[in-house]
Amino acid sequence: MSNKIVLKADNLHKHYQVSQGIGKGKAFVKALNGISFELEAGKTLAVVGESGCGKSTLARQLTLIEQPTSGELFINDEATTNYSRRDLKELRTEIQMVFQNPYGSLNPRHTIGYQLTEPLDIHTTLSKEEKRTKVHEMMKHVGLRPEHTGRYPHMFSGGQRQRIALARAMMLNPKIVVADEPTSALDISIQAQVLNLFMDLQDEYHTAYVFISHNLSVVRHVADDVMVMYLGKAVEHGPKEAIYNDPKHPYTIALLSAAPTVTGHKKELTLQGELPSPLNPPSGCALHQRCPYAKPICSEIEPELREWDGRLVSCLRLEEIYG
Amino acid sequence: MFFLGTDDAGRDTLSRVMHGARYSLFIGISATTMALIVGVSLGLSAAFWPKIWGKAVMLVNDILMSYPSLLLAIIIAAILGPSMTNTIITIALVCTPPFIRLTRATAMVELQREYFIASQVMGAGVLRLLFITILPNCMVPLIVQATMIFSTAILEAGAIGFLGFGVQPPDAEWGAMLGTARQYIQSNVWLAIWPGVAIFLAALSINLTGDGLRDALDPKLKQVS
Amino acid sequence: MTTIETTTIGMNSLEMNNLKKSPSLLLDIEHLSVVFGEGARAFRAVDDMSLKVKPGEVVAVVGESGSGKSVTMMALMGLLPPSATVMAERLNFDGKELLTMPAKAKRKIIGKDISMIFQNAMSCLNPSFTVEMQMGEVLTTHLGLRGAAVRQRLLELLELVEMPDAKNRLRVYPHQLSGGMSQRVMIAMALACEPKLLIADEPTTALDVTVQAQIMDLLSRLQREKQMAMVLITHDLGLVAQNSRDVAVMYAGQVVENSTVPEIFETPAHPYTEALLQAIPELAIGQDRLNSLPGVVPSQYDRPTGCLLSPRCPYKEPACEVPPPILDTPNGKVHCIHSSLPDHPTRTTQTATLESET
Repeated sequence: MSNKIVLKADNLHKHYQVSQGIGKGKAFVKALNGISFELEAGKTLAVVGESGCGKSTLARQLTLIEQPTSGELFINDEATTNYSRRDLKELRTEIQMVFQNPYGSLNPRHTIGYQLTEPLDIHTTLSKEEKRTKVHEMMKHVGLRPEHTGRYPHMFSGGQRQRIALARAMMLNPKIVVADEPTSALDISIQAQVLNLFMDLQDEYHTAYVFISHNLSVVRHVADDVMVMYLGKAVEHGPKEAIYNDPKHPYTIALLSAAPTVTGHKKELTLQGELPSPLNPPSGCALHQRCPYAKPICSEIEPELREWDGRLVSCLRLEEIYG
Repeated sequence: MFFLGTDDAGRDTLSRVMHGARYSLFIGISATTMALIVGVSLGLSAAFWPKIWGKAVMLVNDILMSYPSLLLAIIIAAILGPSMTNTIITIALVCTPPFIRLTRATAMVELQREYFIASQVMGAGVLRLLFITILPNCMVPLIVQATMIFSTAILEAGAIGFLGFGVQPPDAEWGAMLGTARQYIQSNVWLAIWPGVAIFLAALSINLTGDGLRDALDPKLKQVS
Repeated sequence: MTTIETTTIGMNSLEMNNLKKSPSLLLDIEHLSVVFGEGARAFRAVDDMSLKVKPGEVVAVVGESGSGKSVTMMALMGLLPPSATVMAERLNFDGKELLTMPAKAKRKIIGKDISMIFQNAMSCLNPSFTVEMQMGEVLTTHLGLRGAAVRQRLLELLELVEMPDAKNRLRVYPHQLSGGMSQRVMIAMALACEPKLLIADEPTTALDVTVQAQIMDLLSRLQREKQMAMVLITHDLGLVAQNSRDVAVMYAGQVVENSTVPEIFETPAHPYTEALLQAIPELAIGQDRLNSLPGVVPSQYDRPTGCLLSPRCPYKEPACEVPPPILDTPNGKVHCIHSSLPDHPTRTTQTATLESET
């Protein structure tokens, strides 16, 4: 049990320039607006939010596909901005990704044996035999038959493909795996199998997970910490039990109470209206147009994350709401 | 026994048609291969670096595509002299744009796919990304295109030879044979028909092979073994 | 056109049509089977399925992919491809037998008295036509409205589904709408002719959580106000708990359990229902691992001869080698040799089990 911080995000911002057509000038989409967190080895940070909240953008920043507009990302205490191509390649062995779509994340034209060997081809100098052994071992670990290395992805079911994707991510034994909605496209019983597999592999390899999802009950099962995002900002961030047992931010409460439930909700809150466009974000607090607790001050000042009852919340009116 | 008759110089038409196959097929394969290699490389790189390099490539591509092929053949023949090599060069030049365009269009779609991002996250270098990750997924339309281009190449070679800018007589190239046969259409139309039939059959068989090849190479059609 | 065969018992089609069914059942499906393809490659997507819906009632059909839940309703609506063969003893709607009805008469009912909404609203709307044109089509075809009356009714309908800024949304194209808004448009189209039965096939699966809640609230409210019967097809048991009273659980094309809410959560009678409940993370709070059944749903090539769940069932016994009977339970029916779950199950929480041959 080590408390080593394997992943640290420090005030990540990501803005995209979007052209609005001829003569209309450029607009900015502020996909990420200051995200910070620390992740320990062997732990899971769950990132929760709906479409447009920036979680996919965050995934791209964390896996070094894009550079953030500002802010710093530390993988194993190494700052990743301004890295040369060669150094980036080495860093990639530390952080890998599993995607949502089991039907798109595997190359349809290569056998799964080839795709599982590819990380070893790129980063190691092992012999063909050694690679084969490693691949077979990993396949057994995730519950697949080693004889199937010659098969193509379309010959497998959705759940099996996610196992292959997870195996591929784990081939280099990375410190961190970013999982972007890995079970959202799967049936409930297959989801359970794949979630169990995630947790087993975490126990064995001590991997840290950044688990992105919109499904709150799934997240509750796998997470240690939870970060709720809305329009590019974190609105609530804390330990799992604190967030689920007693959510404080109105958006968190709304998310939890919107999920269809068998057992009933502890708190209820409904938000009006729809998600504002990221091209035209509201002034002040991003939620103020939809929040039942909104007051004029909420449209003027942008709240910052601050400590409240064992977690971080960004709301101006916490004192008034909770007394 | 001259099965197909003889031509104006008394040479056996059948033998000349059979010999002509060598030229046409060789020109076709060479030109298509050159166009394929250059076109695919340019197309993939244009999709991968779309901002400056991609725009430049497409500009050159569009210019080349707008140029009438026979005019280009005449110009090259005028500069470099008429020969088989120059025919190949001309046809390769003319046939590259469709490959660039097709590869770029297919690659642009595949670049959005998650398996491509997965390979990037894996740490694959540019060459591996382009030629091992993306290219196999562009192959199917490319193969079909290649066979169509092959048959186009044969037809173009015939046209260039017909005008006299390609393979020179007495070499028996189908297009050249058609050219000489022009004078004899009134008296002996068969001199023109046999090379024409040969061109037609060659182009048709290549097209049919291309269809079959595409089906055979598609992993999705492979059954679970 | 799908080929429809009837298996009537001793009556010809004329007599069947003359027999007036009592209106106490709005939808009466009895022994429905759907087979795709023929001969050696035939695949039984739905096997002997029966469902009863009363007027104004909400029935949920629960199952995972491959359970046949969508195919059943598509068979009812006549939306299956020509390779599908639909067989049933009874396919009765509002006293009329749909199996023997001529196509022209059927078209007057489908879309008017029975309506369906689908999962991905964005792909169900024609991207080349505006909202006004598509919704208007329903009104002109079924209700014969023209001109200003159409526009008037369209606005009424959009207000009914709580579409914000309805007037300006008429002239937009589907790609300009968000997921929630296009789903509202689809609901408005489905309700345009005040149907007696609405079939909702996974209506909220593709939507964000908060939008899901809004749409389900809307559907429930409309269902209550219009006294409309609804068949809710879903894999989400939470939705079932909140919106329906009767539940049918399907597995591999068969109905394995009929029950009611909340009894199905408290005392499930079929091992598959129990497994579904145990796989829900929400009900496994505090547990280290989620209980899950090993293996996968049988494909068309390896269907067991007896009970379809038996290769994966934790309560399997030799008697399961033959097709099980349909037994009565206190809350409905169950398709199993036992009428309730046996005591002291031996469950193993196998996770990375070796996959069975596909």
